[in-house]
This record gives sequence, C-alpha cells and structure tokens, in this order.
Amino acid sequence: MFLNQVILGLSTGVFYSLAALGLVLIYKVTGVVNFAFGNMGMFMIYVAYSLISMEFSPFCTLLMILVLAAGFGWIVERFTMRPLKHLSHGSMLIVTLGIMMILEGLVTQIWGTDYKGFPEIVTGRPYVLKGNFGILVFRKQDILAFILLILISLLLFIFLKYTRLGIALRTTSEDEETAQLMGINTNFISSMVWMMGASIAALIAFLSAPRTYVSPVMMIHYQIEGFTAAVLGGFTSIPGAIFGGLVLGVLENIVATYISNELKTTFSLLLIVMILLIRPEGLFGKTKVRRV
Amino acid sequence: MMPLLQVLDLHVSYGPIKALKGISFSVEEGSVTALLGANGAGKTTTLKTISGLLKPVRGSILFEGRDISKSPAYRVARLGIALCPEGRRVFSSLTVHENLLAGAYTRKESIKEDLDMIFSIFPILAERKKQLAGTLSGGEQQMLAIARALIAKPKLLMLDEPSLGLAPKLVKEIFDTILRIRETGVTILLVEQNAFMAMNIADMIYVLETGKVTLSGKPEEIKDRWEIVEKYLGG
Repeated sequence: MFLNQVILGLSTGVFYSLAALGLVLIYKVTGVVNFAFGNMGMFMIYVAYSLISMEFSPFCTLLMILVLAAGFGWIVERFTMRPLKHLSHGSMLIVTLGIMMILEGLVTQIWGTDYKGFPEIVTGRPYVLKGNFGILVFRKQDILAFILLILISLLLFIFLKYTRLGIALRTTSEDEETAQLMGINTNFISSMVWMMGASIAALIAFLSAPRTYVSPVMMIHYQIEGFTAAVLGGFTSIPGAIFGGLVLGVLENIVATYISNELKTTFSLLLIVMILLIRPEGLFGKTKVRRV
Repeated sequence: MMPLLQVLDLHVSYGPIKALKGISFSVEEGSVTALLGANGAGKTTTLKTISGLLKPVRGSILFEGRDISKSPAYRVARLGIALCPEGRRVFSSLTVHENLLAGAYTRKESIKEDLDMIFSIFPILAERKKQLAGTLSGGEQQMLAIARALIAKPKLLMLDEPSLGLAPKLVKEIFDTILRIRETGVTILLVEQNAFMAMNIADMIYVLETGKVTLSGKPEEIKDRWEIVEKYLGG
C-alpha cells in the first residue's frame, strides 16, 4: 500500500538525512567532501559490536560509541586534515578516500567479513494504526530514529543561530581568514565539525545496523545516498540536507516498489546527474550573488 | 613612554616576491598613525602581518612590549588588535547583529552597552540590525566592518583603506567616524590611498614605497615636502 511505502521510505530517508547532515557540516566549514564518513561510522559499529559482546547494554554502548567517534573525528582532523590544509581541498578529499579504504581493510582484518547481527535499542512489537485508509505499521526503532533526527536538527538550529560558538562556526564557514581576525580559533571549529560528523556517522550505523547487519560494506549505501541527499539540498544548506534525505528515501522506495527494486541505486545516481544539470544549486542552495 | 606598537625591521615575502623589505615604525598610544603609499607599496601586507595572517621572514612586532610576530591571528585578536580588512569582508550570510556578535567573540562580559554605543555612532546599523549583511550598500558594509572591529574593544584598531570605493560624501563621514572613535581612546593605525584625508586626521605619517618607509613625520612637518609626497602617492 502506498502510505506504508512512504513510511518505509521515510524510515530509510532519516538515515540519508543524517548522513547528508554530517557531510554538509564538514563541507561547509572545511570545504572537504568527506568520503570516509560512512566507514568511520562502520568502524565505530564494530567497536560497538565488541562492546556489546562484552555484555554492555545497547544504550550504554551507544553513549560510549558517540564519544569514541567524536574522539576518532578529532584525530582524523588533527593528524590528516590539518597538516594538508595549506595544499588543497582536493588533496584532503583524496585522503578521506584513503581513510575510507584503510578502515575497510582494518575491519576485515580484525573482525572478518561475516555479517553480524546487532541489537535494537528499542525492541517490541511495532505500533499498528488501523483506519479506513488501511493498516499502517510503525517500527519502534524507526520512530526513535525519526525523533532523534528531529532532535538533532532542532539542537543544531539553536546551536548555529543563538550560541557564540554556532555563530563562530558560520563565520568560519563563510570566510576563515576574517573569522580569525575576530579571535576565532578556526582550527578548533574544524575539529568540532569533524567530531560532530563522526558522531553522526556512528549514530547512523548504530541505528541501522539491526536491519542492515554489521559488515564492512554496511555504510557504503548511506555514504552514496547521503551524498545524493546533500546535493539535492544544495550541499551547504542544513535544512536542505534534512529535507533532501527524506525526499530521497521516499522517492527511492516508491521507485523500488512500483518500478523495479534493481533500479533503486541507479535512480539516486541518475538523480545526482539530473540535479547537477538542471539545478546545480540544489533545492535549498542559494545561487551566489557577488557584489562587483 | 613605550609605544603601543613597535614594528622593527619587518621582512615579508610572498614566495619569491619580497613585499616588505625591512620596515620599521611605531604607533603611540592614543594616536592616529597613517601608512600612506601607492598600490603595491606593502601597506595591506603590513597590516596583515601585524594581525598574524602573514608570517614575517625576519623582524619583530612588539605589542605592549611583547613580540607577537609568531602568534596566530586569533591570538593576536585576543590581545586587543582588531583589523578591519580591505574590501570590508563582512559576513554576508549573517545578519548585521550576528556580524557584531562575531566581532565581540573575544568578549566574555555583556556587550549590551557597547552595542548601544555602536548604534549611536552608526544609527543606520541599528535600523538594519536584522538584515543580512550581504544586502547592505557598500558604505553600510564599511560601517559594519568598522563597527565589527570596534565592538571587540581593541586597544589598537587597524583600518585598511576604509574609504576605498566610497562616494566622497561617505568618505568624509567615515573619516569623521574615525575621529569620533579616536576620542573614545582607541589607538588607530590607518592605511590609506586617500592621502589628503589621512593628512587631516593623522598625528603621525609613514610613507611606504615598494616595501620600505621612505618618508615619515608629523603632517605639518611633511607638508613642506608635499611635492615629494605627491610624487610618491601619484597625486
């Protein structure tokens, strides 16, 4: 039924939104498209898997993983991005590709390539809504993911709009040199967005792992779709990223249901090409107007 | 008394190109000091180096007696040196109010009174408070850029070509504003191409030519050698 497909689409779209959010945050401040984003989350989820096998509760593991991921993000920024900053964004981007592959190799070496099961944080029967429109099914974990997306978006909005550090982040994003003149330590801002990005990646992996299973390639899909969603939203717009992810999730699921399941990924790649051809600034991006 | 800022034998290069070839000057506390010179004389480079955006090859910059030539820009800003950069560089995607908050980033205490003070000097900014800075006119952006530097309560305010690209009436307004700022006790280091205006408000003048100080003195001392100045500045 159509509505159920929309709900199912939204439940994957939430992860696309989060992925787009993580990518856009880092891109806005550092100008780097982070190809290691997904695999940073994937790596953290293996750590989480090990923690859970050591009898930590899923919730406790999630908290630990978010903090560890932030630390991981800090290390990546401090020791691989910052030393390359004076070269070019291109070289930084290539390094994120390298990190992506290193993490995949590392995980395969330590944990192997077998798919591993992963617990849900909230378990139990899904909520079912009956009405003259039919039956709608809401899985509890999906609802949690959706609530978290809304919460993160709201917090991020308040942070960027009303806090001193949030304003510092936006100035750094617009003009790093002038931001420094205001006394803003822009390296610290870069560290901060990498920490946030890595934590978001870990959160996506953690919430989606029960469905996708833990594997070295579990995040590749979210990396690509997150990128598409970000392009759809204009790549520098945070509301655009969130909206883009949800729209993409729904569209993709409708294509999979009513046209062909195989076309699902093709569709999103086709979408990137189309957006870039027709409206390169995305749905929410602003065309840059410059005063001459 | 020790000057607030002392620049000693400063050498700065962009790769193989030497932009500053050993300039020295000092800025007395409470004064307006102007660096004059034609395009490419090294005026902007001097200010960028003092603010920490560029690192000198040789020489030192003493601010309140301590060498800041190796400090990163954000540390220099926190010591109380504000640069109002060439070309205004307001944060166009932020509102006027947010631009001022960004300027006050180093301030820990409440800035409410300072905001009122800023708005009394620049009433137009109060009107445009909620507007995106990118939508302001050139003159308004220049005022915002000065206000943004001023709200950090700097000990030294450096202004890079504040009159550039402005209509004559606005230029006069900007210079009047600079005098008002000076009355509040802020020391000012001014870089200008508009030599005539700068002569009127500066206590001390240094003329730069291709990376060197070629003439310096009080405006009245230099006035006698006006022809020379004119030659240097191209009229």
